[in-house]
Amino acid sequence: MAGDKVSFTVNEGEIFGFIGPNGAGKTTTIKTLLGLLFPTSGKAEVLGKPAGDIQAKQRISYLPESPYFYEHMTGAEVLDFYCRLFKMNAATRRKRVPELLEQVGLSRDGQRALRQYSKGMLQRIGIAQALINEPDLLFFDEPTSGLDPIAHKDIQDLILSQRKQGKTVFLSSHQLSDVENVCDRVAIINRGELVKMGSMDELLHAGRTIITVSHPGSDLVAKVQPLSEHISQDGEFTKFYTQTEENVHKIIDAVRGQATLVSVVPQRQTLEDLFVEIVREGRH
Amino acid sequence: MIIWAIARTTVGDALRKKILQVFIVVAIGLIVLSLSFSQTLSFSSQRGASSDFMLLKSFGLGMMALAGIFISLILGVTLIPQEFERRTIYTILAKPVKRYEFITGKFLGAILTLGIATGLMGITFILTIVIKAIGAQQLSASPTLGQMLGSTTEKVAIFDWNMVWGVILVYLQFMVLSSIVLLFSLIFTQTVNFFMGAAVYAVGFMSTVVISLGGAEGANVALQLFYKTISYVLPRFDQFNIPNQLLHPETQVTNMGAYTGMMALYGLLYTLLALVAAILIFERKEV
Amino acid sequence: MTDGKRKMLVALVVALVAAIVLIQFDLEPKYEKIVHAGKQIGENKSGDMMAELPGQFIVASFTGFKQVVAGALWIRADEFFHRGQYHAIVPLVRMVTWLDPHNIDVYTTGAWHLDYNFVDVANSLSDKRYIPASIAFMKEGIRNNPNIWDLYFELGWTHYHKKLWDNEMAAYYISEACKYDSVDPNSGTKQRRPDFVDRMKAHMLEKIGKFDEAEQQWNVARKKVEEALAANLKKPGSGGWVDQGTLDLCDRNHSLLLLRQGWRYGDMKRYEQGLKIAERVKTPEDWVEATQSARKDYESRIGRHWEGDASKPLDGKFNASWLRAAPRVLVIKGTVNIIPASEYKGLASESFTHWYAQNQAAEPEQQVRWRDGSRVYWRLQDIDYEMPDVDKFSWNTNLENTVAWGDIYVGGGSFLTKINMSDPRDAAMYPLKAEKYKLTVWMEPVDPGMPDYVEDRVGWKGEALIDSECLDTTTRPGYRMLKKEFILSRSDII
Repeated sequence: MAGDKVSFTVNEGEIFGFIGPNGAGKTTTIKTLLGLLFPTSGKAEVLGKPAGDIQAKQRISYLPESPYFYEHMTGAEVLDFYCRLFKMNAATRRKRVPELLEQVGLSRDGQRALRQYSKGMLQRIGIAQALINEPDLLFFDEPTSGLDPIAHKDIQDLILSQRKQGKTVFLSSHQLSDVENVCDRVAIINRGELVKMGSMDELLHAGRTIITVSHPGSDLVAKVQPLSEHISQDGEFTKFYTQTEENVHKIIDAVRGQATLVSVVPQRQTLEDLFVEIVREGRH
Repeated sequence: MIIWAIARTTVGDALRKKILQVFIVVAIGLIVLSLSFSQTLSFSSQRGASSDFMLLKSFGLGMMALAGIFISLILGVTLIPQEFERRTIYTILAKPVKRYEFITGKFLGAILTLGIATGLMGITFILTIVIKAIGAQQLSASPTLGQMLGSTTEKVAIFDWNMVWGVILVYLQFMVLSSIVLLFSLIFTQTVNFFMGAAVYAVGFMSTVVISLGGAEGANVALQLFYKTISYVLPRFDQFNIPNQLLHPETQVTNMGAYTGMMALYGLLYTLLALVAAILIFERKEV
Repeated sequence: MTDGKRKMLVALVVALVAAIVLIQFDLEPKYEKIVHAGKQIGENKSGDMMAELPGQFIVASFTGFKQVVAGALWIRADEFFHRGQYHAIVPLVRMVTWLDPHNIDVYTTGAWHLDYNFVDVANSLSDKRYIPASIAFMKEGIRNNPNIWDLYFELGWTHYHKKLWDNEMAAYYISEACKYDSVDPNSGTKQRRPDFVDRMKAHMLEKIGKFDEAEQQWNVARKKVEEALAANLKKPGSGGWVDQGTLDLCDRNHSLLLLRQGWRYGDMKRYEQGLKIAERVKTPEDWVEATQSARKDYESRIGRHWEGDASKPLDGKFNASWLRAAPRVLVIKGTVNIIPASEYKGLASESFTHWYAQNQAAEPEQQVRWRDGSRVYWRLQDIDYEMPDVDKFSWNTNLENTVAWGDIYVGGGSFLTKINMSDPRDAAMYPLKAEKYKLTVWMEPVDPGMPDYVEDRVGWKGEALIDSECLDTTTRPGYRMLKKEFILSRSDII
């Protein structure tokens, strides 16, 4: 992989989130993978081929951030142009272009010039052009940036539908909610460095569980104390924090009969929290 | 086919540039307007209709050249940087498109656009002259008017092949200029490139000055050789501008068709040179 | 791209450069031919000023970048000049002055091209039909730059005196020039008028017989030099370099004006005044000797009756004839008795020149019988041709007209010249469309090509001239000339 210190693998058929603050090196990484930029050292391979390889490009696609396209053309003309780049013949193109428009929900707008398109529609055209070759691997760079909530949702759905078809999507974003909702795995990079990587569950479920107990006796507190990392008093409630599932069960067993168990809440950390935490750490 | 697709799209895109349209429309407008020019505007001696024609032809060719030079510069300067601004270059190069195909497509697109622009202006220009010539013939055919105008009224041919050669030569220089500027656009920023391109045109246009510098008596031999070499390698825009020959078919010193052919070959080779150099540079360019 | 392919492309670049250079080798001569055809066009079709000018310039001058365009055009004009394409320069200078009306060089150069450089192939005669255009152009320049001496002087000297042989107008314009100083184009500061302008005014006044004014002018010119010397204006750029030599130059010329009045008209007072001034000058040696010799001559004439060297009549015995040597080729020949060597015997001016004495002293076979070097003038024109009024002139030069003139060297008392109008390249200069032509052959002392020693014998205005057939006193009132006029029909020439 490319970049200075970025190294990762993407599994087939997953949506791989690639997040980091602006300027973290997301786009650079993608461009390197596409062969638009050249790695200063090391090598970039995609689908087992060196980055930029023509054969590899047959099987991948790319949607840059906020593309504009040739605004004098209609949606259909733009797609026709991109189809030509895959050397599709006229008959194939005639079939493929309406399919693509259909796929991104622009069937009725295909004959309108792009300058009349909204930002969301342009983005759909962008996705449509990325789908022409039914790629195995799609690179989406900030696909939802600058979109209104409805368009945002539509684009997310489009991305999710790709996974259903068994495609691998490489999604870069600084919009964490995007990634959180759709990605299987996430890599977080900051300042050109890979900071953290894992499945959504690995990254987020590694949180703590809070067991809230009403009026525990001091014996009980003493008994549970070794199992919890932290104990806090909140009025009549005492909260026990623990990391592992095993300890959760042990604490529940201990509490049972001794006091009233009010709640057991697994503290699922949001990606946002994780991200902020990581970026902060990076600053120190 | 990929090259052609890129070229076609480029043409469509370029022709929709407002500034380009303005140049073409203004040039065409002024060429049509030049119908009203008469010798009163001319600095030439009174030679009746033929002097009017001289002005008309000279103005028309000059107008085309001037508008075309700006169009060439604008096209050459903006075509590729705009692909970056719109990020279309990334979508295109992410497709199975070879880099040389992209560059070649852009070159071809620029050349075709200039062809269309020159064609529009050229047809207007030649039509203007034909209209003027028909007018002049009717005037001299009328006996009383003929007398009034005196013996200076000369018979003027309706169609002048030299003007066709003139339009072609004008076009060829656009081709060379825009190719050079396209090549530069891979290296320089747009503003720098615009002035670089204008400078290249000016130097090429004045290359006889360079040559006479080289021929100056007492000049350093090495320097002479240097100037001489430069004059051979420079794009010789002066050689595309030969009004005396075009406006004076009676002093035919060389076959204009053959000369134009030679210049076309020269222009094509120059364009090809710029293209190959551009391919070499673009191949190593990070986009 | 593989390295192999890359190398191939680099090789292709090299090959393309080579091919371009090769084609340029082929194109160069063709282009040169076209460029030089411009010159030919100029010769054939005088007046096509648009031909050489790329239209870009014409269009560009409609824009706001006037000065820039003017500069570029002027560079271009220089290029044409080096190629000898004078015709191409004229429209350029026309436009440059239009764009930048204060560029003095452009007026002087443009006007000079107009009446000097449109030259025929066969005789190297300039096309006289452009003189009105040239003068009109200069006058336009003066209108745009009325407060500096440059263009007045140029018009008077280069055009009226040297080209039109019109000393009256030359004297007028050079006198005008003496009213103004100059402005340094770089700094905009006032610059002293060069001294030669003032001296030239004196010479021109002498030429038109205004001797007293000429004398006054010598005093003015000398005073100016004295002042400059006092102010120590020795360095270049201060409006002329002056030193004692400049002062001597004024004195020598001043004294000659007076001495000649003495010699030619026997005016002893002037003779005396002239000697006094001449004696102020201490260099060069032969001047001092000549002055001493003249002093002796002066003293020998005191108290004797003497009316001056120009009072003794000299029969011009002028005869001229023409013949058609070939179609469109005329030969003019004739004889004139100006001036036998013996006529210089005993002349007062001999005290200065010793020419006769030296000729006598030479070996017999070395002795000359004639004092050669005078000039006969000819003019061939449509019978009704008149030079257009330059003040009403509008750049229209009528190229239907035929008008030409020139001068002929006189040696051994005879003269001969050929006017060849047959070269097809000169057809535009000699349209010969009129039915009748006037050929004039004449000689007059005031013409600029006439040497001083002719006037020493016959006087400034030809006072000594007599001729039973050809004496003319009406053409230029107050002056005597020898003149013969012929009327030719078109068939006589063609």
